[in-house]
Amino acid sequence: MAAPLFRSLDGSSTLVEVIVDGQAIRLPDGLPLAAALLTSGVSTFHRSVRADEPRGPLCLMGSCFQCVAVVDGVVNQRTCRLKVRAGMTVERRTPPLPDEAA
Amino acid sequence: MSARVVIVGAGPAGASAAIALARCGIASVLLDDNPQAGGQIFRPRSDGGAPLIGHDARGSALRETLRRHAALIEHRSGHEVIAVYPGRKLWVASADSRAYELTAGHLVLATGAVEVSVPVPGWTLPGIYTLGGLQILAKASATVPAGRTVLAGAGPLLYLVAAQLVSAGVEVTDVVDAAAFPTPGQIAGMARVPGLFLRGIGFELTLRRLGVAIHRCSAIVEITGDGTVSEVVLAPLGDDWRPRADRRTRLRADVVGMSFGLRPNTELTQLAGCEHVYDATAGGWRVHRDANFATSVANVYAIGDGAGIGGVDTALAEGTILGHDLALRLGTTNAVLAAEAEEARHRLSSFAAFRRALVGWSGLRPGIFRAADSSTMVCRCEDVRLSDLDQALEAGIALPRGLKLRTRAGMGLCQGRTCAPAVQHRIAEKSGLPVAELPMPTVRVPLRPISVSALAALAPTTAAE
Repeated sequence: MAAPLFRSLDGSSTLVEVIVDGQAIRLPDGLPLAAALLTSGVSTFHRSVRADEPRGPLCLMGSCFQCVAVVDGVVNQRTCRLKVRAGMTVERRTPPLPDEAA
Repeated sequence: MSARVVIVGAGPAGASAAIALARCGIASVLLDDNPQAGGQIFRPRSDGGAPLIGHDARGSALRETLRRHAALIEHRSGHEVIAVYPGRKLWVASADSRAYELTAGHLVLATGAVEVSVPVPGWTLPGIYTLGGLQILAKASATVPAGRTVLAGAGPLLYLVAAQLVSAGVEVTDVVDAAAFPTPGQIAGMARVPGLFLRGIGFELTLRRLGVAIHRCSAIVEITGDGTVSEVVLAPLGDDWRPRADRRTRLRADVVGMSFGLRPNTELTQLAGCEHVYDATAGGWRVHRDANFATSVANVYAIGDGAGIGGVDTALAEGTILGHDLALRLGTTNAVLAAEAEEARHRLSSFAAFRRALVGWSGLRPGIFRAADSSTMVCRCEDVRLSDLDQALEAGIALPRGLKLRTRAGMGLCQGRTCAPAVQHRIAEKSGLPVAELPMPTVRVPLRPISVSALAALAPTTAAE
């Protein structure tokens, strides 16, 4: 992953393992998932539905849905509203269309 | 389920209303989509840690007061209202993805603001955030940009976020403000609330002292990079903020913060069937209300930024006033609170004068939407480009609803919250009608995606409607 675009001002967090696209990474427990991913070097959270472009968080307040990813197998989860938990899985692929998922 | 009073939004307006009611002995249910009360302005650290940035003692005091009144205020955090039906019937989705129905005797809507984004070529690249988004990362998660950061847009949030980030050690190189330096008349108007005015001057002095370049009458008109942001292009702006073709400059940037002020979040007042008016001073479309914050629908009230952008002081005052009025209507009062509510009413007029001057200085001008070119994505959720909108408009589709059906702009996951201003301004531009004379963009239930199993759990009678 590229150099992180963000850094944490608080180094005191406990780290837990989260699986991102099949790879284990360590993220601060309990931090909003979007913030944790940004500090670990993830800036693309999904690819857009038609143009297949990289997209990442925009508003961080649950409004814009640009930070969505597949979390624990559930599509379109707003990562700004979820907290990091040990064992969480995050997939950054485009959510499958209904006929692909079937 | 039903409740005598339901308040939606636990920001300064909604929380103040709940507290005022509780001080008169009246119970309420306070629904809020955030993990903790305070709204965006008083957002605390998400992990309960000590605030490292943007601390406001009023936020912790508000949360403490809510807790003290826990016997009367049932604060449900992480609960999003996804639908409003006649008779003040709400559908609510909780954080654990369950849904339930709640009918309110009196419904207070305090839903806050949405930031206004302006599409420019390259703005969908990862590494671009709204100014409020960068502030939320800093306040709630103690997370700040690690590289060269350029902040752009207009309004007080631009200078506030820049000063907060630069004070936290972030390498903010440039602040790009679409507005000109305020005129003497605007300065006099903003000085009507001296505390806020001096704070604004303080931000500017901080930025100058720490060597941040401030560009006025300028905007970011293009963003480039391979996978993430690497450069931005600045252009000077003409009178209505239309970007000029000359004197363009390039800046290196790793992170960009960009937004152009706030507009009221009207989703719930629209679903409730309330009348709305276009009011540029309030940030665009806002709910129509009388002097007592009552909307056109019986027993539905609207307060705070969600009813018209006025800022935190206005929101706190409106919450106290409405809570007290509602208590009176329900047959009770509290002498101390009555005096506070009276005093809050007096304060509102100076806040309104401040607001008019602030909008005169930094309110969005339509020319900025000319920064987009034909291939710019306007609707990020459905990948709709400006050329797609133009094709539909040229084919004779002239109304927001038709444009949405033809192009899918505004039909994606965010329901048009991000692209609505840009789409509206494009229709206005092409039709020659002012935005105020176009129909208001529509909203549809559910306001947030919800699983079929959660929907099925709602009372069958409601689901059938």
